[in-house]
Amino acid sequence: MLQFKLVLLGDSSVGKSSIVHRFVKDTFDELRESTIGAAFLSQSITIHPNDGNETKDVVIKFEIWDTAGQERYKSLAPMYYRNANAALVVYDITQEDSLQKARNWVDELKNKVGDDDLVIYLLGNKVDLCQETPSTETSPDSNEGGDEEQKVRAISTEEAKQYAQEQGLLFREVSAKTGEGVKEIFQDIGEKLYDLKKDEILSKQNRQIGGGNNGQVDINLQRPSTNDPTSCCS
Amino acid sequence: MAFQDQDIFIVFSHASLFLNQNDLLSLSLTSKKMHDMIAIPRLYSNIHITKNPVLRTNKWFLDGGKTYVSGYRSVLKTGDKNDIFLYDRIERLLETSHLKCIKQLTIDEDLFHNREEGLQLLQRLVNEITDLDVIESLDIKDPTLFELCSAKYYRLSSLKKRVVYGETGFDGIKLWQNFKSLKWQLPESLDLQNVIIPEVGVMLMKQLNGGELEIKDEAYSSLRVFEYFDSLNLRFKNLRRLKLNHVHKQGDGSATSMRLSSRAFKDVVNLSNLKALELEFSCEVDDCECDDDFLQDITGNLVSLTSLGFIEKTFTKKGYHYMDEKWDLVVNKFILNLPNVSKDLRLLSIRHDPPLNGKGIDTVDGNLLRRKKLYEKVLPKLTSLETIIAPTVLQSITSYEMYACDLLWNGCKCAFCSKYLPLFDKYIMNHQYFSTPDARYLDIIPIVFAAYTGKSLAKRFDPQKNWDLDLLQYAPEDTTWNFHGFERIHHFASYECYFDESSFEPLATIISHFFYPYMNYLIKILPNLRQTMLSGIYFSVSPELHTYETIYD
Repeated sequence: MLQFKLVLLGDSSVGKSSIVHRFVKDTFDELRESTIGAAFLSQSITIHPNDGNETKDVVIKFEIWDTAGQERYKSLAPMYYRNANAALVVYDITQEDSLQKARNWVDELKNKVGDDDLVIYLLGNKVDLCQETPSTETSPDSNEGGDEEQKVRAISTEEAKQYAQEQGLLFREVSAKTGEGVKEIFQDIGEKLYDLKKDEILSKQNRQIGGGNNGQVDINLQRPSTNDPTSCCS
Repeated sequence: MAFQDQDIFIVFSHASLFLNQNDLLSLSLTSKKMHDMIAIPRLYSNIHITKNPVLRTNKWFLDGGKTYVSGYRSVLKTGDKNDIFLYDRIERLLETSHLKCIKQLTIDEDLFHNREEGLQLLQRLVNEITDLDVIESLDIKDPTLFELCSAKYYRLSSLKKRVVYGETGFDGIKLWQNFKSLKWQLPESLDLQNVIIPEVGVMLMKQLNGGELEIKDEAYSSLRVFEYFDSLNLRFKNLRRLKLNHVHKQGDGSATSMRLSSRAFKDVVNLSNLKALELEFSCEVDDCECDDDFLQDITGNLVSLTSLGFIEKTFTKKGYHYMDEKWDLVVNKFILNLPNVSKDLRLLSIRHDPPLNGKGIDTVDGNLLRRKKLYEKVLPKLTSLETIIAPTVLQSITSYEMYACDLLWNGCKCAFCSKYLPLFDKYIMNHQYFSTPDARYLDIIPIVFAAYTGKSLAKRFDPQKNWDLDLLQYAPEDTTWNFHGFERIHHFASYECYFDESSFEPLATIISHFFYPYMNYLIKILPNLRQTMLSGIYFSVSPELHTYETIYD
């Protein structure tokens, strides 16, 4: 099993904790309270990489650091993202300034985290607020309501997508409330991380199998043989 | 405020001394007066920054009277996760407008996994506190942090408890007002003549009248200080508490290693006024009995002693049964010869110096029996004893194989132990440790398992690093063991190991049950016993009912 550290960053109330809870527990709480400090959760996924001829499932465990988005916790941010393998930078598609806040987080990550392999995923949350419900499609009265819902969107998909492309980020719009796109985020990250770390992982496995470790000896405790003539159990 | 109101607030104020920080927070929400006059001053008055949260219970009082600022309360956590919580909490403390209410601040050692960043934050906190110059006790246990803050620390004028390191520590003594407690840490190569000039000596004599002195000598030769004091004709006539360390080392030709001698010590300190004495000592030299001679020389003068602590310190003879037995004999003989010991002695602390993995020399079962009989002869005489502190007693007992096996296989038969003991049996069957003397991995035998357990339980109180006599003034930390580490503990490659920190809680309970027969004995022979701490297991005793209970396990 591979283990990766994943952090969530973004402005307050954009839905970071809701995304995590949808992924880990498959639940959604309309009245979730603000996160204080940090919360730690973990969840595993399985990916199916195709390494050469052999296809083998790989289990990836995410150690998820769900951080508080409030300004007062800003000074803790470097402690959160230190040694992270992936970062979900979340914004609220209904809040005009939240993409700018997300951009600031991306800048900070790029400037302060030296790791080129850090996977950054830009996420626009709350798409459910901007989608027409099935009933609005059939009812003329509700259509007005549906139009109103449509007006809630403050950040267009194109704008965010273009920014993500420029910065080399993964991008997706999701809904923690309905679960739309949430599982796919972690699947994407798992596959991307495996791809990035594949060589390192395979060479480590080979070292363990071959017993060679650049001249160093890996200690692998085996039970003592009962045929040992000096053993009292022989 | 009305006259009646004042009276009731005095009562509330006194009652609030028994509340812990959670209760004080609840109290602060009841009224503005309670908030302003009682809860806030009390919450900020005494702050202790610890790495791990403390164990809390409604059964006892150790977590009262202090506000603990600690890390992440979780059984499974990593160092960086603990850092986040601790860092955040200290940041919040720095934001408060009540820093001037802080009268006592204790900062433990090695608080942060990310040491560099942590030290910067702690330095900021200490700077804020020292700038206010109202603090009465600032205990910085981390030597690096102390070094970073020492210039400001030594300029503080209101400290009642002081710590002095190195050669320049006493330079500002003229500015220090009313300190009553001094902890002096001496480097091995210190030239006393450069540090204690007669003027400093006179100040010490004056200020420590009715106070306490701790001498922690890196060379384990504290008695050299008293010889020097004697040469300056300095006399401490009314010292109340004294702690010192001294070891007569084998084959150590250094100038600082010397026999334990009472000559100057008895002249310099008026022993008849001492209320508390804690000695860290031993004599490792073959055919030398200077420790016994020293203690016998001073015992008759200690007529006011109510608290007594002993710490065994060994260098070349760690884990030698005959060394430990001799040390026990010296200690017990000393106790028996104390004037009025049955009537006066309230607190006794004894800490041995067992090896990390518990494996000693000559540790056959009969040898422990002899040591046990010695204590069985002495302890019943201490009829006024209220508190027993034995930080290493688990290792002292289980260094002898039969007793370690009792713990795992022949001890408690209750439903709880019957359920969990087989799991720990499985643990030792599947794990090995690296024995440096043997240069190979060896099976974890019961002695080794018990020793590692004792060492892990000691983490509950070890960060305090002050007097053993004061250990019951600190709430124990909520610490665990992941069943690996220490001496490179590994499990067999074919064994799927599920042992981690979450397995530690039942082990602590098992150890508390292991002590039940010992507690049964103690409450029978000591009619006034109220509390014990045995290797990190805390017991509260009801002397009236002759019953006891474990507090945290």
